[in-house]
Amino acid sequence: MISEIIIPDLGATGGDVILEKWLVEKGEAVIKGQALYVVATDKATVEVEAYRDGVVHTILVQQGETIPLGTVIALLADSIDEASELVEDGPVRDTTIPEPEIPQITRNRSKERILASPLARRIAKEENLRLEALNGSGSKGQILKRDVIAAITAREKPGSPFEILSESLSPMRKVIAERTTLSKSQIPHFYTTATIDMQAAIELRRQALELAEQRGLSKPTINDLCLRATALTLREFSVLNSRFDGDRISTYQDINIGLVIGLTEGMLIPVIQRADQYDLYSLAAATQRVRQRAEAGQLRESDMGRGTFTISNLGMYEIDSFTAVINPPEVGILALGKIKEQPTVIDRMFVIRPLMIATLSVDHRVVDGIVAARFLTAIKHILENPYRLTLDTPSDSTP
Amino acid sequence: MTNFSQDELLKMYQLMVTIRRFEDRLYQLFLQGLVPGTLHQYQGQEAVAVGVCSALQPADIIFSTHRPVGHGVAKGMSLKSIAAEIMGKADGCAGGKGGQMHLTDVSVGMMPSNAIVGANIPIATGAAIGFMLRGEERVSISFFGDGAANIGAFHEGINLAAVKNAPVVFVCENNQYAASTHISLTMKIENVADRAESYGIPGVIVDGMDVMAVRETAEKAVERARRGGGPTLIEAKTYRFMGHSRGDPGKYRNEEELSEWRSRDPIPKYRAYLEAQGIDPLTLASLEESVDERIDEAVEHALAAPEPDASETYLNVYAERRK
Repeated sequence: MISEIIIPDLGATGGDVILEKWLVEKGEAVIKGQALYVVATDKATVEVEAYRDGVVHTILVQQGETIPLGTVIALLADSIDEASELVEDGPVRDTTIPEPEIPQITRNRSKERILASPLARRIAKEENLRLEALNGSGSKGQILKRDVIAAITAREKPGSPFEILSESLSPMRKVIAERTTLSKSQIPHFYTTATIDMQAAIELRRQALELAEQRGLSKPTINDLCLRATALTLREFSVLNSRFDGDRISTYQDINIGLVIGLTEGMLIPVIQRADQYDLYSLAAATQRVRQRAEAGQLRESDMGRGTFTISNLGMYEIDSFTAVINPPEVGILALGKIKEQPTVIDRMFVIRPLMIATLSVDHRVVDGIVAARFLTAIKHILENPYRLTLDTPSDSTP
Repeated sequence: MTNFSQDELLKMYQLMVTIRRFEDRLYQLFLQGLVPGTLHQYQGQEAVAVGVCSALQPADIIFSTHRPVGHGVAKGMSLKSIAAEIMGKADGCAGGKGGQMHLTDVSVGMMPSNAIVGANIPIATGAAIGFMLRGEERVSISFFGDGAANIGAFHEGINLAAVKNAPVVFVCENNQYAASTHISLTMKIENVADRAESYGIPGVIVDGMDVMAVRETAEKAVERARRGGGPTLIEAKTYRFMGHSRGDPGKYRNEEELSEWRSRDPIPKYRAYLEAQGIDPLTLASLEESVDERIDEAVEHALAAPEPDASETYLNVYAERRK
């Protein structure tokens, strides 16, 4: 009788193991209990013993190879001359399937031994799957449990009422999933919302565009104005430019503002370093650069990380307002909606003005409601009186 | 010479041989890749489980560990339900959900084995206090290893049992190693039993390779507990011939130590004792044969048994809400 020598489930926590050393050679007689080979798992290096007497008939996996648990690594026979086609019934009662009678269409296929782990054979038998029809992913094309499971899954897919496409996460999606989960599970979010009259800001931008045109400067967008307003406000509210470290709050000197850039496959948050140090035109140039690099997938190391606050703008869509998820370890994020012509009341008169709803999310462990309200009010004040955006100079650093 | 009938003596032999050969067979199945979970094996310690369980009444209960096959067999569990459980089959004692570390058959007094080291000590105490409060003359046994003797639950459980005079017997199977750590590295005293004094209960050391010695010691402790005399801490000095678990090559033990203990193998030792009592070696041989047959049957049954149905994944996992 020919039996399979396999790598048993040695309690490794990783996937594959290394067949470190053969302690027997082909043709060698072994007795039950004799150590056959040494296998290194992520936990230990283990000698594995023979479970029966016999002669090492064939060695299928050489030492040094990395292989999955359950791999058949050698065949053990009663004698070296024993022909391997005699093993069709397999070594283990009730666990191996007899090879089905195949009409001789293929050449000698039925004579060829199909290598499969006992577990794979058993599952295949239960599921009425022919081993011949399966592709083995193990060493030497051995069929393993995972191959049978894959075949079962593939078989069940068509016609299933829950036909779905399942694919593994892209690295970007994985990071987004991890970071948003971390944020929402650890940071107690708190939100404040304000409606900002953008008429003056739009007028300022119109004039800035003219100047940019004349002088060949980068053209600021509304988002750049909001970014600069936020950067200037952060100078006065350093508590929003900080991180929460369990038993302490660390405030950053630099104001580095992350900009959420939406992509078809996800999003990126490149950072404008020391965003308060730019004038409107150079800020416009900086945001254009990172946006282009983000969209081209060419962001640099220096464009990412070390952010201290984030702005997310969905103003290009028909979104009135939204609440954003804080980008840890930051403590605040500002979410901007679309500017819309809306009726509002000024000096007891109905007027139509371009209004934008800004929603601030803060980490309540660090920022209380009153501080958040004052911060958002200050941003609103700058955007509604936007000369501040041009009056402030880079040298007007944090007090 | 002995107070035990020949049947009783043979029954103990049969149980010890069953445990040894069953465990050997399970190891073989493991090497063949047919055991999906873990194995913590009992070979070498058979005299402890069999000696203690033979001293019990059917209504008495035992609490076992992550190494429960010997205890389960000695208390009367069916080999089929153990084999099927270890292979993760639907007709295993825990429906295939527990695996090797979670064996149980409450109908024979094998409470669900607890793989958390030392965790069953307070639980066995609680069960014993329950017997006491209900006026039942039953005894509870806690089996644990030398590693558990340094767990907080050891102190809490034994101390509570002592002050409550609970009908519980604590059986420390000192097999010298907590996984790979020798007891000399974890205890400054030589005997776990010495700790009994600090709880005000008897502490007894017994040769865990001698089933008759274990049985006699256990009987005294069990009867004392049943009569209201309170708990006893028995320390059985023993040895496991296998590694701590699958994948443990046991290289932390040297050959000399291993062969010294192997020469004290409880089964040949007891066999020699039985022959000295005038029992026919042929009787023993045919008994061994019938053990092999029962093991074959159990393994065949387990191999052929159905896998658990995926739809029953959560069945018996969570308790029903009480009405």
